[in-house]
Amino acid sequence: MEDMIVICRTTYGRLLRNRSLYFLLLAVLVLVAAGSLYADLTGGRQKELMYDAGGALLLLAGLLTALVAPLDIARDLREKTVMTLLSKPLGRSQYLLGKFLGVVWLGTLNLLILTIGILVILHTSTDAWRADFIQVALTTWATMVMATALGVLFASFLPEIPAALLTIVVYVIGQSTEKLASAKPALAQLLFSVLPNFSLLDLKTELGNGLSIPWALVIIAMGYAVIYSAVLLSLATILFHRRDLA
Amino acid sequence: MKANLPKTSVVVLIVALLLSMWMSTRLAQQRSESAIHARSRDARAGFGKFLSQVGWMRLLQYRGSIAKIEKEDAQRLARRYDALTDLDPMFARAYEEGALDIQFESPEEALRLLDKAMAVDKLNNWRIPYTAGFICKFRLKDTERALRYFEQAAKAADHPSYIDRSVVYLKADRAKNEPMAVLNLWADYYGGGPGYLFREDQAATAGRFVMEGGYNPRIGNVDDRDRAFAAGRIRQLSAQIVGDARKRMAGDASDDEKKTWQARIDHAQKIVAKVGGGSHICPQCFRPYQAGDRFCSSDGTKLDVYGVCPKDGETIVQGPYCHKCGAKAN
Repeated sequence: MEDMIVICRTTYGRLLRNRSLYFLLLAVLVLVAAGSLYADLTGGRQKELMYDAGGALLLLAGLLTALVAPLDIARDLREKTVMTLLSKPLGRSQYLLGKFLGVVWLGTLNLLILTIGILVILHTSTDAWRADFIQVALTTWATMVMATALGVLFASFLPEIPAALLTIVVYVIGQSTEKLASAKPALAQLLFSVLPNFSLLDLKTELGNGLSIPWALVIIAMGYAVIYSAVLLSLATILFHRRDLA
Repeated sequence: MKANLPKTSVVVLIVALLLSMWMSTRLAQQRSESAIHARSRDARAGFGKFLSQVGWMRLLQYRGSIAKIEKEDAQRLARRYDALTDLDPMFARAYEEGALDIQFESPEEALRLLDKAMAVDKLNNWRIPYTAGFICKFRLKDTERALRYFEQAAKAADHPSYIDRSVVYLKADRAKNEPMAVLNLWADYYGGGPGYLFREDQAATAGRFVMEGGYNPRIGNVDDRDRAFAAGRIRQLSAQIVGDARKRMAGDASDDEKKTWQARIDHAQKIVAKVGGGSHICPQCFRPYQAGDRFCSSDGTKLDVYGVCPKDGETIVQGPYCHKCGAKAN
């Protein structure tokens, strides 16, 4: 467990030193705030624009953070750092979990900073706290966790670029799976329950249009993301154990 | 460096997979119950809502560049609005403004766009069916279809009362403005629903307008001003019905016909008695009369005089007391 935490901290510390991250955070906040200047271009819908831009940029930040996982693991493998690490009494599962938690920790921090920033910007422009944006942030966090686990899975058996690309492709497919839920053939429904259903975690359309979403739904969505991430990480561990690292 | 298969991971994989399969099905069920029914037809990797805003801004620019919307522009606009509402199925303003933009050149396309909006469960917006009804009535001249849309608009909880009046007007059109049919429509409007005017518990249901089929449970969307307007229409129609019936009865009508005409007079009088309680109207022709009037100026009927000083017989136009002697009016 301690070894896993060390890996997690190291990953987090190394990623935190990346300056581009701060620019990303600043750019997101500036872009959301700039939405208030778009009154004429939006036909008076600038508040809706800011809310939706906030949600979209939060998702973008979450996905970009998640893509760090396959790139970082693949770099360890390419630079043979992983050989040094694994020569110590450290299991492959612990290594993968440590990497996963390090990226998730960074992503959580990013999303937290952005959520607070966006909430403050929305408050200053609308004179009301948009508490429902917290639901957007939590479901985006769930998306980020699941996408990170997906990245770890692909990095466990693929080089960095194919792993990152496949993460993006599966994420995009996962955004369109909800149609399968109501499909008639049993195979379609089986596919729906087995595939990563990112579409189930997306509540931005509903919340952006002012619908109130029960908190239970948000909590179940988060629970689903965590459990499905466990599936992906277990699979990643199995594949990584079978991989020849020499 | 190949290691053995980690048993813990295999167990976790199986258990977590089964649990996630169950959760995904449950989550999908919960979403269809509490979230919007018609999911975004174009998910765009979770960025659909934001892209709909970008599309909206581009659409406004495009619309601004068209001086006069021709047939081809209308079709192009229809496609754009369609794509936009695929990205955000709850974009009420896009449906409404889109339909209004293309209604002149492509009324059927406009209705298709509005029908698409009405298929979205949680988009309970009265403006959309009302706009559809408006297009049917004034562009397509299709009263029946317009009536269906107006009735749907009247189902929305926050609909304004002029929608209920529009329903009455269209139903009157359908009844070819036959005075008795129209009178009954206004009586239903005033009473809050079909037959409500003569219900025992009228006080409890006053102000509740329940359209045919009783699907509008909203209380208070027909306010006092609306009721006063309806009362005026009722009196006007009753006067027309009674006048017409008397004329016919005075002619060479048979006994059966006379009975029918009398029944019409009785029915109109019954409605006016319910509606006009407390106001000063002629019991025969239902025209309002002024303070001090002793006989109806329209048909000579003797009236219950009001607004006259009991001491000096002066007509009191304003206030309850005589301006000459200070006595209270009768």
